[in-house]
Order: sequence, then structure tokens, then C-alpha cells
Amino acid sequence: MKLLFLLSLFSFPIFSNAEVYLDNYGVGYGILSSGVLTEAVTENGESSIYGSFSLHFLDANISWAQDNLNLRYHIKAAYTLLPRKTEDGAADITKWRASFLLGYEPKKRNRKRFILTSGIGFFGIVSKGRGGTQVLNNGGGTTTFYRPSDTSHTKLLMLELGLTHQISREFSYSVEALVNGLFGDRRNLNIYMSLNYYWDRGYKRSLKKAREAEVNQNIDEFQAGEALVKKKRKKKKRKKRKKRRKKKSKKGEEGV
Amino acid sequence: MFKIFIFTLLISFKANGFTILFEGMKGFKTESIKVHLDPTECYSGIQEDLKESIDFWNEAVHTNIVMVQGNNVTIPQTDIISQNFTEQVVVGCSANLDSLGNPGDADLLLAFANASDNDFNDKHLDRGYLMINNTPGAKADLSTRAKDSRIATIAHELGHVLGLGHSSVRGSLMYFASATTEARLHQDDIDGIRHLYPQDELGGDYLLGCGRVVPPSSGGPSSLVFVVLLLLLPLSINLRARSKKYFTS
Ligand SMILES: [Zn+2]
Repeated sequence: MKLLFLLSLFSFPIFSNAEVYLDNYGVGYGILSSGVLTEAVTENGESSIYGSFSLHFLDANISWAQDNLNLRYHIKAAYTLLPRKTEDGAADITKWRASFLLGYEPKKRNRKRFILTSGIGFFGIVSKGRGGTQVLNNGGGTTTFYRPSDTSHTKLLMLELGLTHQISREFSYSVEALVNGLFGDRRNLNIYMSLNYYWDRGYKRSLKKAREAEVNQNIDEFQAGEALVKKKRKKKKRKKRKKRRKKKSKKGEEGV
Repeated sequence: MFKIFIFTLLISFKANGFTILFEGMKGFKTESIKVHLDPTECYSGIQEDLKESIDFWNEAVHTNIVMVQGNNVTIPQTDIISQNFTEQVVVGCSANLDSLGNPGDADLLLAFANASDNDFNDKHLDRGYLMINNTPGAKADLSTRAKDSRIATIAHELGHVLGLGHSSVRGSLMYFASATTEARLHQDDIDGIRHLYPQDELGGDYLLGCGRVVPPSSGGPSSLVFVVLLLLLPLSINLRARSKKYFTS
């Protein structure tokens, strides 16, 4: 119920009659670091505050723009195509992400633009047990232990804050902070980094707009310039006339 | 650019070798797991050590595990190790470990633990115990170890109580040799405990930890309000920027 409320809040601007158009859509590659700043031992057995890394996220994203509010609406989805596994691995771990973000462009749109995003996201960790047994040391002897044979699914809610930098027409990279359990004991920070390729509708559109604006400005300038020249010409003519008149009158005086 | 992309795809992954104690067994089903201490034959610092070891698992991110310390109990040691009690988890100490198991155990084992599906046969654990070696003069008397090592040992045994078996991953808390002297959770331990106790914040009343079984300290703002504010953040920045424009022009 709460989620529905949040989603409806998010989708409100899209369905309102404000001018919203498809801005960008693309695919990318992402890396996630979980548990940043929490001291833990990583998969290499070393202590780290950078968290543990999950690689190989296939990223898909789409965004709508609303120019009159300078806003952007993003939907991002990601999934680890290759699960994490090994020869004596207990489970295959895949992760997924679905995010609903509001974006804001601090500077006026240009080729190398920055977009600030914030919103909520859903994050999942699927642990698929591989089954089987493993004999390991236990006390003085050995014991048969079991690998899990079922699948367990962890589903998390994230608060997200990120920055996207469009480095060229087609490519952008983004760094996002995903915070889970903000008010609990298990508050944890996760950093998601991705490189994206776009089919840049929005950029083309903005370029077209910019060009139009430039042309309009040129026309304005040209017209303004013309008007100025005309004014100057008029002034000159007036002066000439005055001079002629003066000359004439002088001549006249001489003639008397 | 594309070459880098291909290269990163080829990097392989590291091991995660956690195991579970029993085939197909899931963790405790209750919202929290109550741990009771029988301090009869324990060293003086046990209460503090146990608390720290419990917090260890309670802080494992992306999991749903919540252990709480119940009141102290007095139960015969033979009943503890045969799990003949009504509490969920009982922690005891033995001043003569050899008498409980095999001769020589006191020089070999710092502690031992087990868990079982005692009540319902529903493939969920509901009982567990932990016996600490406190045998005076024995080689493996836990009370003679450094604090870090004591906590690593108790946390390892609690891992068994929660349903985890040993891990083949060196450096993990559940590694079979007691080489771990530093009490820290390894990614492999987190992978294991998360498999047994997955967190589900999308189902039921959960929202951003609001529905956690341990009630959050009162007085803080509702996280729902926070989310709404966060969503409105770009809007507010934008409106401010616009209003500034109006003032200057
Ligand atoms: Zn063990």
C-alpha cells in the first residue's frame, strides 16, 4: 500500500498534462560495492572498507524529461547476468535492481551535462543453493556438512542518490549511493557505478532546440542591427539636411 | 572503451564455501532468537563476551537475523548438550569438558555447539546450545585466551547454532580451523547467514527497516516521510533556482 502510494507520487508528473517527452534510453555495465565503510573481510580474506564487489550488472535505463520544470524521470533496472560461483561454491548468487528516480539538471542542458538523481529502489539478492555435501575438518576429526539446496531471496529497499555525467553523445557514467535500512542497526551504504550507452533522443532534441534558439537569436540580432543602421542613416540624412539648410541660409545672407 | 568492457567480463569470481549443518534445514522461524546463559561454571567476563558475539551476527547486513539475550538459567550440563530444555538457545560452560564428551576434548576444543529441529519437524531450527570449555589447566580453556579470540570462538559457535556448518574459505569466521583470531565477518559468512535468514523488506509491513522485528528507537522521523522528502528534493532545488531567476530579472 505504502509502495503504491510512493509509486503514484512518482508517476504523477508523467501523467499530468505537463510536457513530458522520452529523453533517453540505453544499456550499460554496472559494478556494485556492498557494505561500504563497514569494516568486513572481503572475498580475498582482506579487511576492507570499500565493501565487497559484485560485478557484471547488465544495466537498462530509460528517462523522460520535463523541460518546463527542468526535471527528469528515470527508471533503472539491472541484473547480474553471470552469477557468482566457484568450484567448491555453496550457492550461485545473482543480484537485481529496479529504481525509480527523479533527476535534476543543475546547469542548462549542453553536450557534457550533469544530472543529479534521487529516489527509491528495490534491490534483490538471489542465493541459489547448489546442493551436495562437503566433508570438512571438525574438532579432531571430520564431519559431513551440506550445501544448501534451496533458493533464498533477499529483497531490500534502497534510498538512492546519484550523479550522472554525460561524457559524449552516446556515453555517460554514473555513481550512485544506495542506502538501506537508514533508521535501523543494519544501515548500510552501497555504491553502484555504471557506464552507459544511449540512443540519445533527448540530446538530439535538445541540440535541435538549441540550434533553433541560436537562429532566433541571430535573427533578432540581425533585425536589431538593421534597425540601428537605419537609425544612423536617418540621423546622417537629418544632419546633412540641416547643414544644407544652414549653407543655404548663409548663402542667403551673403546674397542680401 | 569496448575492449575494457570485454576484459571486465572475463574476470572470474572468488569462492564462497559456506555450508549448513543439516540437509535442507532452514534457520529459526521466530522473529527473534532468545539466547539464555547458564553462568554456573563460566568465567567472569562471559556475559560481556556473549553480548559482543551476538551483536556480531545481528549486524550482518542484508540479513534478517535478530538474537536477543534472555534471562540467565540453570540447567544441568548433560541436559544442555542433549538439548533437553524449553528455551531456544542455551549457552553453558563446563569446568570439566572431558566428562561431557571424549577424554582429551578439554585440550582440543575451545567450545562446541549444535542445533536441531526439535519441536515441529518443519525443517526449521528451533533449538540450539553452545558449550564453552572452561576447564582449569586444560590447553583449550577459552577463558585463558585473548578477548578477540574468545569472541571469534563464541561467534563461530553461534554460527553453528544459527544453522551454519564449516566453511572452506580461509579467513571466514566459519572456517574449520580456529585460525581466526580476529572477530570479523567474512563475505562468505554473510552469504551463508543471508541464505538462511533472508531479509524481505518488500513483503508485509516492511518499509526501509520500519517493520523490523526490533522496534526502532522512537522519536525519529518516519522513513516514509523521508522518502517523500527525498523524492521532492530535486523539485525543491529546481523551484529555488527558478524563484531566484525571478528575483534577479
Ligand atoms: Zn565449528
